[in-house]
Amino acid sequence: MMVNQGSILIFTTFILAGLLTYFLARVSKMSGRIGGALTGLFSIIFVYLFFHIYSLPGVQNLMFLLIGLVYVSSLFLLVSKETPPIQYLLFSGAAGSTFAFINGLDFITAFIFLELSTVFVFLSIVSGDRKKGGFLYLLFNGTGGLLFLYLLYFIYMKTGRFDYSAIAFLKPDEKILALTIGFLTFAIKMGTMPFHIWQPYAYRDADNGITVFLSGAISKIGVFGAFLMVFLQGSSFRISGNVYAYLGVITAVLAGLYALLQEDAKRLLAYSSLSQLGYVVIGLGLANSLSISGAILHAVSHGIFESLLFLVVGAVYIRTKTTDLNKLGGLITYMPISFIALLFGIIATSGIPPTIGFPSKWMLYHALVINGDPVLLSLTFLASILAFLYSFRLVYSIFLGPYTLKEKVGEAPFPALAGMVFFLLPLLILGLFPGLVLKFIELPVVRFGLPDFSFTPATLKTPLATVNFLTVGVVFIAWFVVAILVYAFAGRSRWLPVKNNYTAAEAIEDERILHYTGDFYRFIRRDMNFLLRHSIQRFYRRLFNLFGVIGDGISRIYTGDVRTYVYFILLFILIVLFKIKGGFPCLW
Amino acid sequence: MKKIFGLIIIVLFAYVFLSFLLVVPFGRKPGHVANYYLDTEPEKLGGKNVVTSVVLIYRGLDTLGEVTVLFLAALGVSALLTGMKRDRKKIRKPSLIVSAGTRYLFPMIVLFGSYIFVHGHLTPGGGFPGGVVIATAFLLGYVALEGIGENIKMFHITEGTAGLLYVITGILGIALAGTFLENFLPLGRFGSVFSAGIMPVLYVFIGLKVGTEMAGLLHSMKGGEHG
Amino acid sequence: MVSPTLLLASLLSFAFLSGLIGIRFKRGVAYILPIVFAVTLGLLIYMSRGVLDGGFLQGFTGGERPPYSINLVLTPFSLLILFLVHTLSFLLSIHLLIRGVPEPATKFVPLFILNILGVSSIILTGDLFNLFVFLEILSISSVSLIGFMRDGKGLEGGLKYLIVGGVGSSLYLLAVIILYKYTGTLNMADVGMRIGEVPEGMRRFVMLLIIAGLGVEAEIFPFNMWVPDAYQGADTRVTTLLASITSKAGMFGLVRVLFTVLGAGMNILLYLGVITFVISELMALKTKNIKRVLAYSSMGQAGLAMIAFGINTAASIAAGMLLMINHAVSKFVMFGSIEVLTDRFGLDDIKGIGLKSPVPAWSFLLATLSLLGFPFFIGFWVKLNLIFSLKPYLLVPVLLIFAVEIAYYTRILWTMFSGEAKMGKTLAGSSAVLLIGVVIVIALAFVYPYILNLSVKGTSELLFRGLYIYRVLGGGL
Repeated sequence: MMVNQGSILIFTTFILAGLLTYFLARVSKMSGRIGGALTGLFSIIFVYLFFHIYSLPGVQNLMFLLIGLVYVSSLFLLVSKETPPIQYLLFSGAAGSTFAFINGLDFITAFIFLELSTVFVFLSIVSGDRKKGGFLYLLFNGTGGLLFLYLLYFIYMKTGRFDYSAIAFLKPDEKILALTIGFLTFAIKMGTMPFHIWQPYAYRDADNGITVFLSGAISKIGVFGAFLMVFLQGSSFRISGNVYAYLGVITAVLAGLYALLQEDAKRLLAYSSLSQLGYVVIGLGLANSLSISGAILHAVSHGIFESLLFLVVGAVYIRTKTTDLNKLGGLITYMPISFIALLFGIIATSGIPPTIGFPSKWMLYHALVINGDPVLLSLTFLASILAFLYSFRLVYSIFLGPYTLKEKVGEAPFPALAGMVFFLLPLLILGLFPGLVLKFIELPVVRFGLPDFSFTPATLKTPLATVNFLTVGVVFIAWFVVAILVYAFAGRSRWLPVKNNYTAAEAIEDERILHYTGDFYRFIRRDMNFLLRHSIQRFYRRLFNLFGVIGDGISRIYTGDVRTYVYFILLFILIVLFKIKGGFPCLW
Repeated sequence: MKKIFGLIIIVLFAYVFLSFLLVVPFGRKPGHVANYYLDTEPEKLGGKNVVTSVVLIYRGLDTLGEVTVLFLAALGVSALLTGMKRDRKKIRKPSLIVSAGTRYLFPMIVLFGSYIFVHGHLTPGGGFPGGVVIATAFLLGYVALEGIGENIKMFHITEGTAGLLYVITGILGIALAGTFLENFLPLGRFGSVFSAGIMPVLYVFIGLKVGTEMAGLLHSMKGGEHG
Repeated sequence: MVSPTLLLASLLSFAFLSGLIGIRFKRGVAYILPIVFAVTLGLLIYMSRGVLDGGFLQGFTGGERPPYSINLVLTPFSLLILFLVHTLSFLLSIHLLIRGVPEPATKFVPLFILNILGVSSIILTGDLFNLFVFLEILSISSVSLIGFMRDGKGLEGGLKYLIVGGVGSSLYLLAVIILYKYTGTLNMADVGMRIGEVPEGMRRFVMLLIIAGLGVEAEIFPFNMWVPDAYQGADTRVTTLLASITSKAGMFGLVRVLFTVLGAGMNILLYLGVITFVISELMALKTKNIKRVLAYSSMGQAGLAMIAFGINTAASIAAGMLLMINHAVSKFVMFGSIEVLTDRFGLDDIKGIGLKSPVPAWSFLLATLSLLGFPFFIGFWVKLNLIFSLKPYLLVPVLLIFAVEIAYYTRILWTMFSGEAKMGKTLAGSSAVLLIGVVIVIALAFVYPYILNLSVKGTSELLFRGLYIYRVLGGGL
């Protein structure tokens, strides 16, 4: 059992950085902030320099870059607020294990750091004020780790090796089993639909900075692992792939529906993140070169825009101390830059150019159309519509409408703003030049058949159509500018005081705020109720109860009457003797 | 129902048990270890009573263990009885005949017990029976006399010291002869009281310890003060 | 002249001495505890030099060589477990000093020392009947400790243990008698050498008797029924001792006798281990009393260890030894924390106690993570080693039950860390010792290769009976 030395080094670096920050933060808050930023940046630069990133294979390299991006931004959010010292340490541990996981090239390294990330995230959530999410996280991801352990054992027993390539030596049916188990593990890590229970709670209860990292980076462990499973199978995966595609699309739709009904921004984002990861799973499940490329591209864009959204919500929380959508509103006056960041985030979520969300969804749709399953296609479209709806809810409830808080608030702190910019740049640049990302996965996807598409940095040619993202993006930006100009100079809107609204001659009190964010999508709750009853949670509870009832039944043996205890000992001897001898011995 | 079930199990078990035990050659010739003891003991250890040398030397650790078990039992009983409420029945005073008789009998029993454990290496008996005999003297005392054996502290001191001395004798074996509980005293004339090396010494300790322990046990069952 | 007998002798003299000291100094007698275990630890370290390289250190008694006299054998395996036992006893005694020794201390201290004496001797002894004697010491002292607080539950648990343990040890004694009758000797190595003289059917009967007899102490099904009652009934300080330290002796004794003397019965051990593991963990799921849950979990871990030993390969036996270490240390911390946190143990009573006093609660949480086998703790390596030594058909049930374990521990932790704390016992004294336990669990994970190396050395004496027999009868090395 040789653990990847590079991964150990990475992890140690991050742990040491975390320890240093922890002690600095114990000394004073300021030194903690500065030290946290410096040690964090140092460790990531160290990792990048010494692990000469370009030597890593494509997808690994891509994930490395993406996670680095998310790491820095989450760090910025962490240092721009009052973060308990221990969170720095645990955050560093989680980040280190994520990097180490991506860096590893064998199952044993993967398993160790998978479990380590679980431990650190669990400890981080549990050391916060709200803990429920942490325990759910431990329950699901710990069980997921056991599944992975099964995979580990299985592959080792069949091939005697631990490295990823060992999977190539399996027989086809064994491959399918190994893949299924591995995929389930990473589906739990991503929070795909039947295993999603932990995710909204964990994202809600984690520290805001950690949430950014959770959604942007830790979920990428799941994406990378799932990709790995699909990749290692190669084209033989296509047999069972459609099942996963359906799993993905169900996740996308249902999570989108759930997202509509949330009253808490972080929970809404958690479901939205889940829904977007559903797309990734669809892409992986279709298992052709176009869909896989689309899935990876979407994973990258998800990492960027979802983290950006969490970052903005975290910044809003720093100023307003709440993430309750019913309490927020009208923040655009005080936090314009955050508003713009969030706006671009939701544009990307909805898949509109010129952001990175557009090319990834474009590729996925093309793959779906080529695949030709009408149900999959239409459900995916439905999920996109839902994405529009909940994105709108988010931006409206937080930034638009009347201002609802008592006192004025300031713009987000500087490091948080820096983090937003940090995300906005790739969000736009990669939206115009998605080929930069596709370059990384050009080679790996050949494993799924020769690509039926070609690309340059700004263009993409699929069997269906050719598109130049730069042109599309520029046209969109131009229209956007025109729209703003029209709005600014020819707009006929005017500001009204809150009470000057349509009251239909009804006298209203001061306290009542006329804000339409409360229970925004009531009609959906009403009409979709049959889908949204928490049947999955009930399933898990039933499962728990089933095992519990079995246990209760067995514990009847433990009667508390000592006579029966003695009888059991004697009975044991009798039964085993009977079993061994095939009958009772004769006396003489 | 449960009782019938239990009965069936016990009957079945007894049957199986018996069918196995009847096969075992109990009471036949001694094994090789026993033969070795019978052959070499007199020259090596000089005890007239081979059983004693087996008990005290060859299997001395077991004996030490048994002494500890007794110590533990006394300790456990007194720990469990501490602070327990008992309704003290009125104690009827013993009659004159009993108490007068006991007064004469008491030293005799103690003397007899001491005789048994001092001659443990020569005759059947030894520390355990001797100690128990001494304890019966105290039992008689508790029943028939007042004010005898009430000083529980003395019991504790005696038993603790005896136990310590026992262990120290064993350790002296390591220091002087090489192994734990090995004989390091001269063997003396075969068959006399002062012979067989450390065996009589150990039996004196055991006798004292067992006697005081049993007496202490009786004392705490009687409901006296606890040390 | 260094000899393992010194360990026994010093424990015994301290036990008698504490009785003497207790007459004069009723309170101060507790301070003898850490001294005792410091001394024994020192002795162990002193004796460990040759043993760490894989040699045996023998202690003889009565001036005779093994088959003719009782011998004590310090092997790598026994050194490992002894070191564990005495380290934990040392920690526990300091913890007890801080938290307060159960009263009357004059009785508790010798009982504690004698309990450890029983454990140490069972681990050290090379003689079948001697094992029985020390088994008696172990069980009588345990019974007295379980009922030490003289409340109904404790006395009930103690009584149950007394009866079941009595049946068990008489079965064991019967087995020893039969073996003696056939082989004419009581020494483990000698009996092991002459085991062929026992007829086949009788050997199986003896094996069953021994499994049943020692199984009571080793906490395997169906001999472990006293465990939940006793652990729940006893004072939590005592339960800490029983669960983390005392229970290791039974496992060791069972393994030693089956592997070295009989050279048979591993399959039965394996099946019993699986049954124990599965049903104990399932029973823990809906149990409402936290001490009972931890007791079920202890039984489950004992079952897991028996699975490991029953598979009977070098890797699995080493994993079993590691498992014993992990379980002992984490259960020490867990029961210790529970004792500090609360004096009522229903699930409703422990609600929110984690928020009230963070240090013990977090110790509990971290120890739980180790027990569940998460990395950064020794438990992870244990789990990894164990899983890889399993047979394929065992994998799915074991992993499934691991998931069950995660589920009920999550439930307990969740209960501890949520909701409003009820008024309960206030925290007296510090719980720093528990933190030391957590540090040990973490530190062990970092010196894991060394520990693994040591336990692999310990496996050879179990795997190759001839080696043990040759070394013991040949005079020891």
